[in-house]
Amino acid sequence: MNKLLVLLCALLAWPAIAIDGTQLLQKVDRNLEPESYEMYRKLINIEPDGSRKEFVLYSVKKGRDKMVALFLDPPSERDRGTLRLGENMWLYIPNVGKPMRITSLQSVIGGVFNNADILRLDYAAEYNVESASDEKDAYLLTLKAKTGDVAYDRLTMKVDKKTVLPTVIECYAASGLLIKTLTYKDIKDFGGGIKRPATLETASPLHKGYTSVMLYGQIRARSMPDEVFTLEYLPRAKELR
Amino acid sequence: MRCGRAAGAVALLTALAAVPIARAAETFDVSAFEKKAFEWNGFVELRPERQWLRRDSTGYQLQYPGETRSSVDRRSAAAEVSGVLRHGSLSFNFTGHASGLDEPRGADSDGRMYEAYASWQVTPRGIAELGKRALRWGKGYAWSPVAFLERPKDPSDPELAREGFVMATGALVRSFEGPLQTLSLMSALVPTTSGLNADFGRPGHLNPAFKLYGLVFDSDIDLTYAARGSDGPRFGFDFSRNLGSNLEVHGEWARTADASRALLTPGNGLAMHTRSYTSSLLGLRYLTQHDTTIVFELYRNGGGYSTSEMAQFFDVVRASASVSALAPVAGRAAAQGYTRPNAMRRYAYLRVSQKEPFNIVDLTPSVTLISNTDDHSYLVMPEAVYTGFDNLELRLRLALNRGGDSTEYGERPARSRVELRVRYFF
Repeated sequence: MNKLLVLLCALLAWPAIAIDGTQLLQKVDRNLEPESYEMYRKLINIEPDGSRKEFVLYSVKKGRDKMVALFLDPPSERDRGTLRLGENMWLYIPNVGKPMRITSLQSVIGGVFNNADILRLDYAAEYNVESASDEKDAYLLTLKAKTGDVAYDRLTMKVDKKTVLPTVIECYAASGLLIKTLTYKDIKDFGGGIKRPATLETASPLHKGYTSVMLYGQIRARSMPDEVFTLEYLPRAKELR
Repeated sequence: MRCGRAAGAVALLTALAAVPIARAAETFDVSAFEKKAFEWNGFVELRPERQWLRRDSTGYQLQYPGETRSSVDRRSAAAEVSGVLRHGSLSFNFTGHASGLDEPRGADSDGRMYEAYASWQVTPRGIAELGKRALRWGKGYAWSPVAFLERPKDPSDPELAREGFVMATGALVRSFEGPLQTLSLMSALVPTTSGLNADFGRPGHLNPAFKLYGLVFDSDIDLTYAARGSDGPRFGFDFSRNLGSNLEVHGEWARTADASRALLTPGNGLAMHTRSYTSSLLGLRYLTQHDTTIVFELYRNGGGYSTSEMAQFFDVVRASASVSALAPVAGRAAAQGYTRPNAMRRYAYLRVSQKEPFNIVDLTPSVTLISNTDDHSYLVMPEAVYTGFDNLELRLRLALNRGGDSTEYGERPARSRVELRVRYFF
């Protein structure tokens, strides 16, 4: 009888075991954007009183861990640039005139987004898949940060089975505290074979009443020399457009 | 039932919140942000301030000789415009700054180019630039001992733009896989003549300098060198590294040889004195779970005045009130180094800022402490920055100079100062 029960449990668990979480996560990454790309985004911070602040961001990424993001608007933030090389991040403020090393949790603007959201690398580059399970219309991945330098210690990611794109991601601190929830929505065809959510909404129990929204305006594959992703080049990042 | 009502309210709020989001999506026009041949931006600012003066201070005696003021109102205005004109791999970049000040002693205005230089991006790995440039070397926030080619920053406002020097620079950069991720070499020539870069140092020198940068094992490391020229040779290094997702540490070390400075002689004359010295800085930036940012730095200014040297200066200024022959000496000593910011040897800097406390959006209060750890005097500056209005930044700052007699901050002319800075960006 016991042997029969064990066999039955094993059969029921079979689909979950069959999911290759790492491969699935890599597919999610490639479905979200090409490995090397340029992108225009608008960030909207919506405050509890309904007032909004908007930022326009131009970013380029190469490979697994190289990224530059540049603020184009509003005028008070224009040409403020950030560079990410793996877990190294720098902020360039034109008036200060030199890049300053910052930590991944330091926010370069107000609102719920932090640097790790704005300069996000591939999920598979920063996280290991701890578990993968099969739900009705979605896969549920539990991800664990590869190093202590990653902004969120653990993620739970709901992946739509049909599109293999994330729908909801919960971000947790090492203490188990829920830091924020990311919701991907509005699938759009960006051309060049890129069909992905055009909106990312963020809410955080740590910032009650605040919402941040990221609107994707343009994403296209683009290759650049590695030297573009250096401190030397960062003050001239606006020339990349 | 309560639960149902609450759920309904949440749904309604969610729907209401979604309305502006949907509108925003319709108005995101990417073409408006594509690169143009000419781009420019800038700001204008107004800065009214009131100072409460300390009439028995030497600073007061130097600034308001023979006067009996207890406070002073000052009004200043400034405008800064930056722009870039592009043609292929060539570009011309500029930053112009104009300011005006109205105070009881009179009105004054100033206009100058902070930067105006041509740039040629030869390849992604190499660039050459010629013109007036504001180079920034070093990792320190309030001070930078390795910043050999720039005007000193004001630690009470280290993020202000500063005027550059006319120079020719070239830079090469290479990226690699492995522990050494980036290597770059910058070389610069800062020529001095009687009419060019006159405030850089003695005329008739080319002043070559180099900076070698490496990103090694996730640490920034710079080696800097300025050859003998208008001043003695200087070399140094700096580093910066993250020790976690919320802690950064940095440091600088510099050796300056044969540097000259103005020094009061035992007979209360003023003479140029040459010597070699070492300066260093150690600092960190820490972010707490509650979005409090702490910047802390310790600075040893090897070229600064000792406590006894500074005490002699204060004595000379005091004596100049009754001995008129000393007044020119006191004035020259003040102008040539004794009253420049952080003219002494050991300092500590602490800045604690809190992002949006108590859910007050767009508000960042902070408090900054700059302490002279030799004479235990200090400057403390509570301030609040509000950015809730479109393109507008409001900063209210109180500055309190505290210290005993013959101490750096105790001898400042203003005991307290309050200022409002209103800056409009365009």
